[in-house]
Amino acid sequence: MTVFATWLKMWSYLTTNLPEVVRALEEHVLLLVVFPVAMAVVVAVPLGIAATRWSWLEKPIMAVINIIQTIPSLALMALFIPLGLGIGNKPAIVALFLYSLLPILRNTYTGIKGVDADLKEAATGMGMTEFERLLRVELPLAVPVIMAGVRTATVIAIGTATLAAMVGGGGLGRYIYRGLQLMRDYLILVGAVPAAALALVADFVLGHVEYWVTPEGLRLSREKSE
Amino acid sequence: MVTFEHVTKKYKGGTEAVRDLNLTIEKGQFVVLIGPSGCGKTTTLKMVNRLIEPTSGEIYFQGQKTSALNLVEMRRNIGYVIQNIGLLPHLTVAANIALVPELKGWPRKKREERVDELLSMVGMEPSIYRNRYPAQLSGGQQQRIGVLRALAADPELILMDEPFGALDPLTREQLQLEFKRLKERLKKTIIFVTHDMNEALLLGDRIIVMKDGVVVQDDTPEGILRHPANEFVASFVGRAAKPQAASDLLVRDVMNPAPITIEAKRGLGEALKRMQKYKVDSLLVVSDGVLRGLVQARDLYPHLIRDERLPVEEVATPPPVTVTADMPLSQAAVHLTAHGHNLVAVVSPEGRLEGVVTRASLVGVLVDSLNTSGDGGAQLSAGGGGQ
Ligand SMILES: Nc1ncnc2c1ncn2[C@@H]1O[C@H](COP(=O)(O)OP(=O)(O)OP(=O)(O)O)[C@@H](O)[C@H]1O
Ligand SMILES: [Mg+2]
Repeated sequence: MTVFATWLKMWSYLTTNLPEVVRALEEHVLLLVVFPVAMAVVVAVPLGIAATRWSWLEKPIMAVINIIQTIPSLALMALFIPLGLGIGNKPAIVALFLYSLLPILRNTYTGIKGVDADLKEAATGMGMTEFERLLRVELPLAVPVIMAGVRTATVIAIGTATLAAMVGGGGLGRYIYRGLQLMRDYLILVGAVPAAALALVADFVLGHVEYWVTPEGLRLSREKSE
Repeated sequence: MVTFEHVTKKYKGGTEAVRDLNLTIEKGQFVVLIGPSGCGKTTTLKMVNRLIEPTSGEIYFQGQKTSALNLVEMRRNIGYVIQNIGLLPHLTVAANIALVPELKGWPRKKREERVDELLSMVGMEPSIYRNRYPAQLSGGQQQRIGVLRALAADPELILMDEPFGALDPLTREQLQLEFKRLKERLKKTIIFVTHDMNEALLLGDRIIVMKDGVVVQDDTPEGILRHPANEFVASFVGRAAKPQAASDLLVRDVMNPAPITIEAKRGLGEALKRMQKYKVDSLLVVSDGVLRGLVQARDLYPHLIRDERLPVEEVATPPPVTVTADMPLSQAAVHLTAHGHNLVAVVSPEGRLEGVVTRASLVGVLVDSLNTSGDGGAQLSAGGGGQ
């Protein structure tokens, strides 16, 4: 079978089973990417902020998160099966969530730490409380960096989520997994091509979001210093 | 307003930045802290609003120990201009200025009015600048906003750490003069750090010279100039008294303080006699010391034949371009060179005639800078003839 024929078959599968593929895509995006990444934002941003306030927190947090990151993603998913989550999407979601913590946490921490010391001192000197300073100065200035972390986490999660099928979960990985089992190249492509396209689109869109959430004045001052 | 009692600051690592400082700053005083880099000026300043904790000793603000005060509350009542401007880049000019008023919970309307008032005060049109971001301002404008931000909530005390240090010499000069006028209007207690003696002499009511963490001299500008406490202060002052370049000169430095004038009510005949006596072709017309105009020889002749006693004010032209004594010389020079005026009158803000700058004054400056004797403006002020 030629490569061309494989693509043709993929296309015909896609068109005849469109609703099913779309459902897999939805599952992939919402359940395996958006949900775990969103949860990671909810957890990692406050943790990252906490680490900048209480320096003793930084080392243990980073250590744990680095350990998680070194565990291969499939192994991490599989690890949760016997831990009461069973097979299906659940162990995958937990693993994807844990995986997304690192880029978001690291960027939150460095983004806030990276705010110009003079600005922080000016803010304190003018009579801002610690909390006001965080809210009005540090977070707005760190937002672009935090957002870049979210972007990285999302793109990684889109790829890693294709492994969910291996632990009985859904998403686009199901086609890849089934294709591998049945030795059907075109089925692999039905999962792989949309997943790859999804990663590219997400990267592009989030790049724009990153620009868009950067405060205008900050954007101007960066453009000026370039 | 502020009292230091045996205040010492030792940093980790052993640097004794401030040693046993005793100081009382009265309400309404403009105090300049001056000294070479690293002598402890910034440390002293930041101990007032407790950005730096003294190692020992006590500081009082309005009679109360600052160690016992609510820091956030206290800082909101102390204006603070930091060494590197420190405007928040993500906030507009208006939001930057209104920061402390906002923290203090002023209603929005009042904040907006205050921002516009302050911007107008430094000659920045509110409708143009209000919504700009710091990145869209020049360095001088940013620094003006830095100063306005400290003034916004009308604090009792203002701390300024080399507010004009980061600017180019011309902008710095302009801002210093602007600020001098401003401070005379505001009548605030200000502690101002600089290492520029010219700036200290221009602005301060009281100058505190520091070296290696101790006060070397604490005196009025005159006191510092006339009786420097030691060699160190003398060298500091010596450096300041000599303008480094013509661009540092002010109108005051070169103007002829005794221009040739005539009272407005005097007759044309007398005007002519004065012109002949002093060998000039124009006279400044004054009444009660206030400049009224200028009369030139060529304006006299047609009228002289008819009535020698016609008051000069009848033929005088309105005051020519005027400058004030504290403007940079360059501003007067432009009128003489580019705009072709023969002389530029120097007047006080109330319109009193204080002197005149002529082309000859400029030649004097030029000769002096060619000689590079560096002997300052004192000699030059004599070179004002040829009116
Ligand atoms: N955080 C710090 N830790 C240790 N030493 C410090 C610290 N801050 C300042 N110093 C030292 O204390 C001394 C006084 O510093 P300070 O900043 O008060 O000087 P300054 O008079 O403001 O100088 P400049 O004109 O350069 O701003 C210097 O020797 C400086 O190196
Ligand atoms: Mg300093």
